[in-house]
Amino acid sequence: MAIESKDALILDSDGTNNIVAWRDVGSAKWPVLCLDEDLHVNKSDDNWQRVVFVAASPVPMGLAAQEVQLINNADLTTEPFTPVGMSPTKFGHLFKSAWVDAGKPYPVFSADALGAYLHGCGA
Amino acid sequence: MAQVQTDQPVHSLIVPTANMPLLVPSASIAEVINVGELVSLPLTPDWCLGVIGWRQRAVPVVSFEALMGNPAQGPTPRSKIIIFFPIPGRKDFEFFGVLSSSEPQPHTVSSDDGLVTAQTDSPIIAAAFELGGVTVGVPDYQVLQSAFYPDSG
Repeated sequence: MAIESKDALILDSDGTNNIVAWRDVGSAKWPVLCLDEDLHVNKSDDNWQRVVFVAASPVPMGLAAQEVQLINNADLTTEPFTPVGMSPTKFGHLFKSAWVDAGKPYPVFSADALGAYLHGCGA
Repeated sequence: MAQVQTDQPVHSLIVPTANMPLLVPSASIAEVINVGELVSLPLTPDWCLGVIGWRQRAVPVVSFEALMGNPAQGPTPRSKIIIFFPIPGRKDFEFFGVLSSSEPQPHTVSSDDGLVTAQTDSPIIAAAFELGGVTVGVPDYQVLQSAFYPDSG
């Protein structure tokens, strides 16, 4: 939905929730979460610089990242992919496709599932 | 123990694992490859070691040791990944890999083998046999399917 830089957001240092920042869009505030490499909440990580917002209900959710690199559609070929094991969201697995570049696989997030997962982490 | 008769010779591979070697039909295997870059996949069970890139696809790689309830074994320099065709009835892109502890060995199972059934208490093994003094297990694909794709019912 949107990519925002850290300095355009309202940081949240409240230790009682998992939210690291908010994006104020006037009518609502969109929460931002920071996840570790295992996709578990990591509120203590302060190295993020940008946030990718994805659609979620009731409000879009942000995923913090150290760096965001945009890739041209023409340079990205994905193939369907099914992870094994129980899916973590009501929308199914977080990854439903993957891009393989020079032999290295890059699982690709399903936006619906990622939004639902982030919402679950922030709730 | 009971002697097992085989009507037709079955071309198979014996896949070494840290526990029980697996006996699988060669026809179920797409390729045996070296262990390349194994990328971890978050929020998957302990028995999923990660994914590899194979023929422009991401393929999950599983540890049979962990599926059998034992500690997962990581790859060693001798390890191979056995790429299996999708389980019958699954989507045609759902290949999966099994980490073997060394190069699998071809074996044609026939009545000459004098196969004798052996005991196994692992639900992931459909049947076990004594083969050349070693107990080998035949994976239960229905149980594997339930473990791999539990959301599919």
